[in-house]
Amino acid sequence: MNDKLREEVLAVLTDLCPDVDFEKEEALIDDGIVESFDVIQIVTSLMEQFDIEIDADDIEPENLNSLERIVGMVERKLN
Amino acid sequence: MELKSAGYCAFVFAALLVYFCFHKNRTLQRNVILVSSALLIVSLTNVPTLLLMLFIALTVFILGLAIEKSTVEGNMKKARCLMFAGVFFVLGILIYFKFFTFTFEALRRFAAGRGVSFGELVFPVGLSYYALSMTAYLIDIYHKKHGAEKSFPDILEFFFYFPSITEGPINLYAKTMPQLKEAHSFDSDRCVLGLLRILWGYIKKVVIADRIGILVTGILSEKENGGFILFFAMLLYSFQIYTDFSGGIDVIMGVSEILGVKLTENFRAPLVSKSVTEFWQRWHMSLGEFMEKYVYYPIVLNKRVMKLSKKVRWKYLQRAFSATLASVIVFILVGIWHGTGWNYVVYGCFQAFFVSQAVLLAPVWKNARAGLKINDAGLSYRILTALRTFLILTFGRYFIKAANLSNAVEMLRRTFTEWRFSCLFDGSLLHYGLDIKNLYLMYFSILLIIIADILAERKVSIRSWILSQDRLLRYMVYLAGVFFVIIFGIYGKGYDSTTFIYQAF
Amino acid sequence: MKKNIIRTVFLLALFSLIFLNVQTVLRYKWDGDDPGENFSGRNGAYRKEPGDSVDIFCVGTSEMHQAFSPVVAYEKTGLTGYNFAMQTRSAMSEYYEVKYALKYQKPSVVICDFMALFDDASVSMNDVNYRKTIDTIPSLPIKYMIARDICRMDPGESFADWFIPLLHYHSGWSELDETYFVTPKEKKREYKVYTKGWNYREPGRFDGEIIEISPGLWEVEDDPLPVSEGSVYYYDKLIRECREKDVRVAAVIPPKLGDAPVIQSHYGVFSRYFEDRGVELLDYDVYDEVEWMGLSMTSDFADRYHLNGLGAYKFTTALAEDLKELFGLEDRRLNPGAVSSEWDENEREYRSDLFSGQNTLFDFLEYLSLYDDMPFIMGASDLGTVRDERYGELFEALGIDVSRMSQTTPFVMRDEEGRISYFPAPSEDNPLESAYNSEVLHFVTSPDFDPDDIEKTGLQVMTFYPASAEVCSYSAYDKNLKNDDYYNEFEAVRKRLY
Repeated sequence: MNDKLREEVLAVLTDLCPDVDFEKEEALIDDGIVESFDVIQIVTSLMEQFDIEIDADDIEPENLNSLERIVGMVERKLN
Repeated sequence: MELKSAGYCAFVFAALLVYFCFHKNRTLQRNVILVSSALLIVSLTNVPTLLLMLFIALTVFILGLAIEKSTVEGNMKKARCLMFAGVFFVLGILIYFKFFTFTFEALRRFAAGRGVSFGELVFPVGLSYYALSMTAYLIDIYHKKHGAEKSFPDILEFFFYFPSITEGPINLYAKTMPQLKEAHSFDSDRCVLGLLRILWGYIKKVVIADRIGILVTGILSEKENGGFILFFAMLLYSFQIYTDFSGGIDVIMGVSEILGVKLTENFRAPLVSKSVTEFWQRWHMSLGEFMEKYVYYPIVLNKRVMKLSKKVRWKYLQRAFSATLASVIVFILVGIWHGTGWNYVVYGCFQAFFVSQAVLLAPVWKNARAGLKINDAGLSYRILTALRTFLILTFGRYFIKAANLSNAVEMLRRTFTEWRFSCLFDGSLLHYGLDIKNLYLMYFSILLIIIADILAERKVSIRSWILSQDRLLRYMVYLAGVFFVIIFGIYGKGYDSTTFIYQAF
Repeated sequence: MKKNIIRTVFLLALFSLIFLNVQTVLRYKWDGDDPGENFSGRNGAYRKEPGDSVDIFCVGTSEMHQAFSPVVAYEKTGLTGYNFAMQTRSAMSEYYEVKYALKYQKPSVVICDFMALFDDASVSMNDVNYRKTIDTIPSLPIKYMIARDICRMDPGESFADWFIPLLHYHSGWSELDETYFVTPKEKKREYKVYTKGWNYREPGRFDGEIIEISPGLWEVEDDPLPVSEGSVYYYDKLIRECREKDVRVAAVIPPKLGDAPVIQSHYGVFSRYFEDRGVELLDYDVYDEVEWMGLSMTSDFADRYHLNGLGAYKFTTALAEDLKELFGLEDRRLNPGAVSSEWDENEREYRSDLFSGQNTLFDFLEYLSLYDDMPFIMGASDLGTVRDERYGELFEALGIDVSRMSQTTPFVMRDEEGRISYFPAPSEDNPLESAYNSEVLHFVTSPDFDPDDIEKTGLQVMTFYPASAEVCSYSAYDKNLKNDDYYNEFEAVRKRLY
């Protein structure tokens, strides 16, 4: 995994939701730790930051449940 | 056969019995479910309606296969068209049956007048639920989340799964179908868990909801009632609707659990919700999930919406704008999904207003709390916000309890007349069909429900606790529960011992 | 797996046990305190009857319930009987009561007043009647049939609600009190076997507007209603069922004077119905019969429609004789093996209860006058009372010349031969002295003797029952007196007198 990418993604996430420990949590969506509006913010921020396209059907727990998964999704979109 | 009748219990018992006779054979089990669903549908409606439902399912089935073929071939445009065709077809039927049955009635009378009669089409039971299931199914095939179902009986089993056909939950293909594809053998532990859940569901529905219902109906039917007693009735109505709906869902989930299929939960201790937003994540969750996946996110992340939102200043408000727009649309849809009439639209807007202001004004509220030094993790804050939310939602319910919009406004107006708290204590509540013992039982059961939600929120599982006790205590609990329903349930014609003073003829 | 099945069975057994007990407590108890309303007692006693011991079996409405007294029928004609009429009016109830009864006995004749012929048999109109029927007939197959019939008549009804009482009566929990915990067993103990189901109403308490009995009372008023198909269905079944079991059926109209014009206007339809089915119709609700029986509103009726105990006596006398003649029934007393001694026992108990229930001198004397072969000793300390013209006729009927009762001879006796003698006041030579001195024979008088005021005064009459010289004590004042004391005292007296 691209460490630099991971850092950047983490920065975006913590900027939006400072109370959440993204390094530890594994079930951000499933456990409701991030609400739908937070998800919107995360997704739009990521889209702006990395100039990628994220659609509604990308919003799945598989893609957003943990920092690793989010990074993975961004990576996929970049390539 | 309604959920509450002895007929339904007998029917389910028979279905389960036959189902587990074929415990190694999934196909036969599926067929048992299909037959049971058919019987249930026909008993609740009639044969023409069953045929209509089969026709709808067949259309969706065929379209699903066609969409999949198009996506495999890479013809996304065609797939898209097919998907929209399917969605419009299904939603069109839903809208028709909700709004336009009168044209069909007129047509039928016209035809009957000329000697042509065709069977009455009754509202296809569960249409509101499986229409959404079908829509989700088609959209997901298009997005390649899963393939189309190749077997028509199998997809029928999914769409018309008999436990959830009447009240939901709204099942999604990806989560539910794999479970249906397996054969399930009888597991006594699972069976006991399921039965406990069914018992709890019946307690909520038959003992609590219907008892509250007597008082609510009584108070609301008297037009002179206003002020506090009217508001009190609406507070009770909030509890009634919760216990009635969640009780029914518990029965459904319990039956399905015995069958070995875990459906998606619909309720997660909604009484402890600290905000309207949180409430909608705890209430009718399968509907919320559908709306979120297929309406909310698509709207927010839609290119045109995003372009529009760029026109707003401040980055935060940009996102808040699209989120708010999506919320409004979602909640209006939620409103009219519940019923037809402007009052439902207002209901939706009411919810949308509170959810949106939470998003739009979040920074404002946050600063206010910091300024007043309110600890938002503290117990008192949690209790107060829960009460506040409950009150807000109660006002929202005026719009679905009333018959129409003007009625709702009228009820609101009457609520803000003279408030007499004394009505709680001066016996005026005893004129609506509940005597003092029943009234106390009602209060007690409301307390029980609140405690149950708090315990659920703390992840205390009463079912596990019961199962971990020794056998005699378990049996006593089971028997106590069953007799609680039999004795205190509101069912049957009932009798008034004074009317047994008959006249000698 | 096996263990699970055993445990499940155990749990179900426990459930059933608790269910039945809860049901016994919460269900509505139809057992009333009135002798005729004690269904548990009646059914229990009926089942204990030896085979072939019922001649006349009565079903019908409350009028029949109070009018036909099996013990009187036995006394007068030696015919045994049972009264399964109820305070309801419904053809279905009457049919199923007969059906139940025929399971255990083969009566010579079934009588019924068929009053529900014109009634709407629908469930909504007869809710309480049907409930009473299904709850009080202790036969599961018949309960099943009734519940099934009801669900057929009205598809909106729930079979479970009718067949399983707890599902109907469960809401009684909010009204629980001691009465709910009285078990059928206790009620059976309270039951007076001699009544044989008859609902006995104490005379002297007329309720309502007094009707004058004259031929004009039967003048036809309105057009008759049509017969009700539902009722005809069940009455036909009743008649058929009896025929199949070789039991004869007779329609009996008791004298319900309050409805005289109504019954008269329906008479044509009524009699045609029975003619078509070959059923005898005995109509006692006509002026001639009423006069012949000697009925008067105030003394023989409890209200405008129902006979009281005295009226039942007169009516049953007439009816039993007529039935005996019509159907050629045999007097069981002529054939010693044909009846158990219980019936004779019944008669005694009946009279004992009867007399001790009399609250006024008037009723008391009336009853006494019915038993013209019963010896008695009567004492009066208030001569003003006995000479009151209200009682003139009664004393005459008893053969007593009140002018011969005086301060010196206040006692009068009628012996077994019917001879009347007058005794002086107690003195050493007086055979009644010992009796007079006992606490038992204590006369309380007041100058303002008001026969209707049972609290103030009492008149004691001792009679000797012919069959076994048992002494029964009747007092309008104190019902707690024990028979044994009297027996001893008056055996002594009796021996001395004879």
